[in-house]
Amino acid sequence: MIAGRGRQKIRPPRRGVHGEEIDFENTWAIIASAFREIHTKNASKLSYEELYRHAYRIVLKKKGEDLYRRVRDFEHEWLSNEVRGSIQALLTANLLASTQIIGGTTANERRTAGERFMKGLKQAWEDHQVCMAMLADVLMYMDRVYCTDHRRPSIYSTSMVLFRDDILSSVSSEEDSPPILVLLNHVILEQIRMERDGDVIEKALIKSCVYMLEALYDGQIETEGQRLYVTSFEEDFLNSSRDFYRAEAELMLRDSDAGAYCRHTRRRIYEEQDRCRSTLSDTTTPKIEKVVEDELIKNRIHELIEMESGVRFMIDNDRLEELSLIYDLNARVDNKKTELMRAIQKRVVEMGTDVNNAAIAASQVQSALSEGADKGKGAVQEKNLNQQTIAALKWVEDVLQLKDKFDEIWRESFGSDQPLQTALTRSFADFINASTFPRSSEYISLFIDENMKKGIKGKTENEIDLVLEKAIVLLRYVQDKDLFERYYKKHLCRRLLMQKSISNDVEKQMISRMKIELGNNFTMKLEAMFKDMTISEELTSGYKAHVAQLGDPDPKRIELGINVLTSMTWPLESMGSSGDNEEGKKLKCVFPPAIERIKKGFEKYYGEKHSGRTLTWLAAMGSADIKAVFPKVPQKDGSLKERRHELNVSTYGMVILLLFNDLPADQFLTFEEIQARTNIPKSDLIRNLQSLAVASKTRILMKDPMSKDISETDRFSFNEGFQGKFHRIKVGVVTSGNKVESDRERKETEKKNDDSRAFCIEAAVVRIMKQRKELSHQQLVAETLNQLAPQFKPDVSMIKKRVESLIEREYLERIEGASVDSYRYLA
Amino acid sequence: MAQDQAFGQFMASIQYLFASGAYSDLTILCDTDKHAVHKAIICPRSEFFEKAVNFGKEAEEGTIHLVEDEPEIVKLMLQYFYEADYVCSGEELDKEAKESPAPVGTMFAKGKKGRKGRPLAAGQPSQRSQNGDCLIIHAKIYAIAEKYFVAGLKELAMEKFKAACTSSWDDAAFPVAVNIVYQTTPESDLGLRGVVLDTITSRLSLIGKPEIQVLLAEGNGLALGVLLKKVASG
Repeated sequence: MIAGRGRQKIRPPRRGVHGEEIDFENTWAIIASAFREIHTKNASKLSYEELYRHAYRIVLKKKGEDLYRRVRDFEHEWLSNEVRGSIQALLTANLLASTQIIGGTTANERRTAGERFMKGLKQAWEDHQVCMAMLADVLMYMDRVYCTDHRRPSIYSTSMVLFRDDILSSVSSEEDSPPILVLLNHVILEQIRMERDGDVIEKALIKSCVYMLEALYDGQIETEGQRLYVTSFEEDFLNSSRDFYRAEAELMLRDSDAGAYCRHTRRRIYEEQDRCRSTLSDTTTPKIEKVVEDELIKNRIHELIEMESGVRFMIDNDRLEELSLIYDLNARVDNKKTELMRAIQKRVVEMGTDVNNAAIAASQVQSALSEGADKGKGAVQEKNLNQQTIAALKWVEDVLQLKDKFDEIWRESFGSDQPLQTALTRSFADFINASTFPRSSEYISLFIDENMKKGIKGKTENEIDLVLEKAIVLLRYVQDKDLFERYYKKHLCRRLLMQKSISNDVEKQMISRMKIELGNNFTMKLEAMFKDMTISEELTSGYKAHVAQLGDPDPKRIELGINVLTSMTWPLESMGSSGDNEEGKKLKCVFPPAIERIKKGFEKYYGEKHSGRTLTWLAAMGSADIKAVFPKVPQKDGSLKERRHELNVSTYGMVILLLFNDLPADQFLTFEEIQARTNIPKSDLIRNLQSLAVASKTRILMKDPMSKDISETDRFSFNEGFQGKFHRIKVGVVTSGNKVESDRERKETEKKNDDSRAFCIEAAVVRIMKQRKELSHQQLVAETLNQLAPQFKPDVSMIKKRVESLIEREYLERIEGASVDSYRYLA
Repeated sequence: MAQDQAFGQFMASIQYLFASGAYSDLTILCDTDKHAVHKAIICPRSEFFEKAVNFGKEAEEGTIHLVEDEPEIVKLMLQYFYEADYVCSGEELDKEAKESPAPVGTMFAKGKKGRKGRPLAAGQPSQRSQNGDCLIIHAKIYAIAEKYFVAGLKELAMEKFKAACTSSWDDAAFPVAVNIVYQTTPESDLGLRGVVLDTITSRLSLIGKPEIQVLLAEGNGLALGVLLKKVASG
């Protein structure tokens, strides 16, 4: 048909591509009959080329609109007349009954009916899709040209909408029965319900129906949120699930224990995730998870945790796995795990308070006893204090045990969750610093003391490390670090002066750990104490060399070991015995001449080295080794021999005993005479005499009358008949070790602590005001608290007092007329 | 160089497939012509063939009967499938198609080859030349490419058509080609229609031709197009 060459005459071109107008009606008739064949699955004889060509020509001839409309009408009729009927035929009485929740049909019957219905629907849907795909192939030119140019949805999309309207939204023949779509929802929900109850259902079948709902849209706009699955099914599903799980939670809280509840909940969540994957749609997963989490966890977590078998029970019985479940569940619904945290904290404080109370109970029993002991029952008092010390150590061990327990729970069950650790720390600090239990600082220091003196004996380095670490762990919780420092210094002081420490290295390790934990300021004084000790050793040996150099060695020479202590560094006042410090300061002990000589000698030696320093002798703190010879007197066994003993006594003891050296054997000294000649404070004298004249194993003096108490009228004489089992005899003096303070001591310590606190507070306030110049009262208090937090937590009333004192001394002034109380710094 | 060689061999073997019909799995019938072709070559380049080979009768018989297309044009389309080009040169075309495949180099040379049309003064009676015939063939190729969604062929045909227009606008075949363009493309397709409008507006003397006037008088949008084009170009 190409215009041949050489044609001379040129005519205007004819109309039409191939010269003929198309006959739309005829052409459509051909196409329509072919479509019918396709729908009846009889397409194998149809020629694609022919159908395509017809459609192509119609569109090219601008009849696309007509073709499009015809196809749509054709499909509408096909669906309405052919397909709908077959679906409605599946609506059996069983199925309809179930929608109205009428009894009389068994679950099995309903399930079968539901499956049949879904199968029919699925079949119709799949047929429709296949046929429409073929139609769309044939009508490709229309889609590409007509639909694109006129912005029409493709014929395939249009036909999907038709399926929705003509099939899913259609109402069944029976008057009051709901649309197919509603029925489908209901059937699916019922099947899911069956599966939740343990039945096996046809997941793939439901999934096919879900695919259909996902492929169709509500309305014209094809967005995610407009899918029929979302608009019609999902909401129903979530609502019915919510009801289901709400009821289930109710039932389980009543009938099972918390552990079972947790396991069940976890399984339900897995099941729902699985169901979304295999039966419904992945897009539903987060939503249904939320429903389950809300109903089974969020709304119930409080009840669950508070159950008899809840968190408290799990903690007490070390149900780590169940605690871990609770943690997971709580974490799902609450990032902060508020409920669990609350329960855990509560339990920590409860258990900690129990530990505290046990310690208080123990100390109260004993302080009642020690009231009597103050009247002179030394041995009883000692025993009580020892027991009390044991109670203190037990407190420390108990707290550490509690800490270990919760650490394990935290690690194993809570996945080392950071906020929970913070909460645990807070709770531990709460009970350790409870206002009802003021002794934690002292107890912790005692714990270290005990270990330094005995505990670490024979332990390996690692074990010692562990002990030190424990102490540090507890120390972290202590709020009033200043109080701890006070006790630690006191205890350390005794250890150093009495050489009770097992290892100087370990002492230093402890100090360096504290330095890391609490900073330089805290350990400065402690380190100074060690330094004093070192210097003292040098002094002692230096003095010894100095003396040796002076002249002929005197066999009777008294050797001097000396500790020179810096008075600000050492808590010397706490080293003296209780109650008579004032007296001790006023009175200077009178030393025997031999001792006095040595004392002078050292003072001279020291004065040469460090001019301008005054040495104060603390007789109450020293000790002496005395070689004693007991004359030949008849013994109990009748023998007659001289006995030599080496006596280790306190300095006071030595002073007392030396008085008897010059006394004829049958003479005596009265209490008053001894006191007058030695100037030893009364209470120290009583205690020393108790050791020397009452305690049966070290009765070097005889007392008249023989009684347990020392009274001022007693007379003392040398006990020539003394008999000791060992060569070396240690004469103990009551309260020489580190023990829990009595209540009176305690009050004093607190008072001293408050005094030094007052100083710290003033310093802090001045520091702050110097920098800020003007500040309101509120802000000043807040900043002061903040600055002092690493050391202690001061009372607000104390801060107020210090501020007033500073105003009086004109460091600060009140700002007149300020709306809130404010202060100004005065340079 | 080895690359060029390899490419040459590749093209040669593809052309051999068409010429010999070896490994053919599809037959295309057109009038009396029977082409043994390959789905693997054709279907990826044309959605029409892709759908057709899987549909009803065509799938069953392995044959596609192009009932209404011109054998000449179908042949050129198939040539394009196998050679990435088609050649419009009258009788030679037939001859060449029957010969064993030409070496690639020659083929491309031929593709570019186009005899310069004789310059014709406007107003002189138009002559139909071989070049003019090609104008018609390009328009028809364009149409078949549109119909069967042959990838790239429309663009190729348009390029050739454009080139042919510059040389043969005064040829008697031009109005015939214009008519074909307006009959075989939808309004929205501005490809060849654009070329036609450009040609006419830049050579307004064409309007003096009665054949063109007939076309302008038709309600196919040509007249409006020319007018709009003229206004737009000032």
